[in-house]
Amino acid sequence: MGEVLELRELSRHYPAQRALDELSLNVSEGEFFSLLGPSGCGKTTTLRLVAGLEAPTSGRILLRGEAIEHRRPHDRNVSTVFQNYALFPHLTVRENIEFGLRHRHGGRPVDADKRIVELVEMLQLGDKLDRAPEQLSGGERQRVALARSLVLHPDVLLLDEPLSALDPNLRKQVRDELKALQRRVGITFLFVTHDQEEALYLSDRIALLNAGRLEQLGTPQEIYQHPCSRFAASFLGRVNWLNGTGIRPEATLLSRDQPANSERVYDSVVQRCVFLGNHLHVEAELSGGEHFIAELPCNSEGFQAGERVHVWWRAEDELLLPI
Amino acid sequence: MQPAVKQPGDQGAGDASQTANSGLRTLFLTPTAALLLALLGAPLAIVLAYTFRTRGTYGGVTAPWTLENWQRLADSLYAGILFNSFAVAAVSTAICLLLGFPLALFISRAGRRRGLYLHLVILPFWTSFLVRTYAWMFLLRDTGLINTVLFKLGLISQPLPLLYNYGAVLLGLVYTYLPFMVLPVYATLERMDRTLLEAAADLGARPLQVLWRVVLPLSKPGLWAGSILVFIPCLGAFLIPDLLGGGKTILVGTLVQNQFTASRDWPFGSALSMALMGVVLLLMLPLTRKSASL
Repeated sequence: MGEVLELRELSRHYPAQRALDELSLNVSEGEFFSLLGPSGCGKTTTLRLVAGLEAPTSGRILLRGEAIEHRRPHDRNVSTVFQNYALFPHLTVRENIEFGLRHRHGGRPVDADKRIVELVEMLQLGDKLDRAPEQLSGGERQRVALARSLVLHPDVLLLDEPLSALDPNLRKQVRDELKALQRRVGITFLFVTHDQEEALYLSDRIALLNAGRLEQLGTPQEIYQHPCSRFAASFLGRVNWLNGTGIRPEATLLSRDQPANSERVYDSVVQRCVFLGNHLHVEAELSGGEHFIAELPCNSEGFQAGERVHVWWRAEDELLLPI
Repeated sequence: MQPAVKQPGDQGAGDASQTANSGLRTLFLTPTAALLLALLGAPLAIVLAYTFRTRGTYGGVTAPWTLENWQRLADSLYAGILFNSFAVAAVSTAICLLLGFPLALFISRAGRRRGLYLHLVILPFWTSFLVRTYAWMFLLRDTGLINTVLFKLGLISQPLPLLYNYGAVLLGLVYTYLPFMVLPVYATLERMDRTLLEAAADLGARPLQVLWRVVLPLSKPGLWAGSILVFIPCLGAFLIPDLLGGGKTILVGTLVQNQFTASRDWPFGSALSMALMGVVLLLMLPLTRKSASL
């Protein structure tokens, strides 16, 4: 797979803040690539720099090997799905979808009509074409925004937290659809999110950003299982910490009897035990005062608050952080 | 209990709060409504009544009742004046649109200086309208500032006819009413979602295309509101046509004024102004509805 997008030491500094500091990464053709991080980490800035909506302080942006950092937004073959979708309220769904086709180099593509028909069918917008955006539901608006961008066959589709405007029930369903869509159209997605679950679920690779810098780059599994820092470990899921060692709640075990063959056994007191459907959530306090959470299989027997138990885990389940 | 039957308790509570609300509303609205009725409705009724009376020798109205004033309106002379007035108002509005939209756009994108520029736009209101119009006369007349300077510079040997023509009237109208265009247009531009402009650029539209296909259509409510605010006073203007147009440019506003002063024909003046108001209302009805719905 070739590289479609390359960022080289890309920086965006404001007088009071380094929104983005020397970010370098490559995105491969057809990849679902996520920029993940807390608010203010520089993920949206990165997206806007690639789109051309902001200018970098320094660094390069290469799109299919060509430097584009000095080009105007209309002159870059990337397209953005905005967080609020930014559909044109004075145009119908059809006119929104056709908006960009007029402006592409060399005029309207010859296969424009075919592209529209395909996307409209794929995104189930057939009966909505003559509606105004304000008559659509959140999910429908998002599909129109996707169609409007995808119809241009961008080299990279930029998505700025496109699921955050949807209500939680819809979000999971749309998430599945988005992944299926990306596979189907084969276009490279650069996806911005602050939701680690979303990033893990959707991404081929994730770039975890923190305070304008790249924290870690890797597949979801790599980052989850081998986080490079406390920040990375904590941002992608919960971690129990004991003397600098991290253990995921699902690797944390509880037993009433002294477990054999493990050196990691600690006397604890159960504080809370809640059945959450897919797992049993137990909170316990270690004798040293550390607060631990264990997620046990849902068929495990329950514990009583105040009960004395052993908290333990296997050595190979510890998160190894480089020091 | 049937499900269709309303809960008596709810209904009662709703009624009580509604009654209290409407009582409060009546209390607050009564003075304003009474004032409007007295100061707007009553004079209007008097003017309407005057249109059916006969002129008095020294102004005022006398008996008998007549339809003559309305019949005189059909005279082609007045139709011509009315047409001229509409044309002048329409051209003034068009010029205000052409000047006001770019100005409002500029101000809306001026960042921290927006406040300053807005103040500059409304600064002329701090001086009397009459004084400002006389200032224009001082600038434009044959021995005025502009002609004097051009003459001294040797650029002209005869004074340019700057005053007492339609051009001067248009200038005065545009100068006076431009802020009424700029402010509502600015308000819509200011409210506009910036991500829409970013989205347009992102979809490949060049800056001018963004302006034409997104900014302009979305500014429509402000453009309509501004046009109405400029067109109506321009149509009825009498001071500017009188002072800057001299006697030559008879517009309907001036004509009405003349009926009440020089001609001492109050009934006909009343008929003229009622007719003008009727035409304006008819014209504006669909427009105001449109600007409200946008």
